[in-house]
Amino acid sequence: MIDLSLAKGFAAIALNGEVCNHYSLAKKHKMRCVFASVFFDFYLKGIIKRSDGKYVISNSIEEMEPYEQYVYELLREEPSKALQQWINTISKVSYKVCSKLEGFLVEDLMDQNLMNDVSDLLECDMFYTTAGINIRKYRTVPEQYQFELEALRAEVLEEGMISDEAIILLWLLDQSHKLNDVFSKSEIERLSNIKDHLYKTNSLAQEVIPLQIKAILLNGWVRFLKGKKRLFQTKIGMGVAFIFPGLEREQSIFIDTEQWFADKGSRLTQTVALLESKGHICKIKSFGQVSLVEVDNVLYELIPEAVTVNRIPIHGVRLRRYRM
Amino acid sequence: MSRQRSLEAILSSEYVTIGELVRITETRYSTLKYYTEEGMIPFEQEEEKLTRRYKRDITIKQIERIKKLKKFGLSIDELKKELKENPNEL
Repeated sequence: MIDLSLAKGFAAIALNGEVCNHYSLAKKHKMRCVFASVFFDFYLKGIIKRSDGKYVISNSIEEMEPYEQYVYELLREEPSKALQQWINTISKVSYKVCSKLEGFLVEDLMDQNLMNDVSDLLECDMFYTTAGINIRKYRTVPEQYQFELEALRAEVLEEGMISDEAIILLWLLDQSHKLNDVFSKSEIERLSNIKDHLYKTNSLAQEVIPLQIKAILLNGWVRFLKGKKRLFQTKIGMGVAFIFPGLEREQSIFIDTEQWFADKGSRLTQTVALLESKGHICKIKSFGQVSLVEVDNVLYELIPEAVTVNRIPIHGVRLRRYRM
Repeated sequence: MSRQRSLEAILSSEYVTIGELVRITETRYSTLKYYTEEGMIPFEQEEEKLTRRYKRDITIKQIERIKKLKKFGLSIDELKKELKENPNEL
């Protein structure tokens, strides 16, 4: 495992599972959060300094990586602003800038063998396979992905001091809506107490926590999509998505096991073998009538199901996204 | 899945597993796993995929030391440095 900078570590988490060549609203928002992570990385490294309530970019340039150099040149156009103004600027960063930054970071992470692009899990869905749809997504190497998250959890969820880097990373995960993927429900409740405590006692937290990365013009649409995603994360929502998979496709994937299996062991083995043959990395977390499997760093329940196509029953397994 | 040992059995044995450490020290499993991967708590492992074993008394003292240092205000990086420079201070 490699100790990555704040920006690279956050990019490794944020880009995991994102489609490669397609820019959804969610991905654009995440890339703006990645841009913000580079900004705060500069602050932690002393390239940006706080002076009289403003954050100022220094003129001295150390040896920088290509993505740092790119962001530095963009930020240097207006080198001194209050933090809220910096975040407002970052919220308006264009699709072209996001795309170029993504290119630099992904290239770096792939060179270090920490990320690769694989076929999306949706390609394993019977309906997508038969339609001949090809979707590629990024996958961070599981060991590195877990390392980044476990380092944060070990620091934040245990009693004691929390570093500036951990505070900023928590804020970034919140802004990019990845907190629910990283922490369980009870941990998120605990986190809100931790955030309150940090806000009262830590000067950086007092500045950062109230900030929000948002795109004003797209706010309504983003709010609708966030609300929809949140709805389908509730127990009732998950059930509805299970019955009507088209409503939230990535949460409900049907895999044709090509055979009817009477026992859960064979069903699980066959499903995992099918997924692995398509290049996905699977880890079985729990085994039972409904098994829990981690596929490319994301948890899914495996629920046996049969669908009817042209009056022919097809037996398989439905992967349903599992929330901790 | 193997049966869990009783607390008395765990406290009287020389070696414990990570799950047993979780019970004794009331520290999160993910935290102990992270400390293990970072070399902050020592373990023994006969072969690569076999269960890791921890020497109970030394490991508990090390975990308490880590908790104390963290409460004292050290960040994770500072903790790692301190443990590396003073490995025998328990």
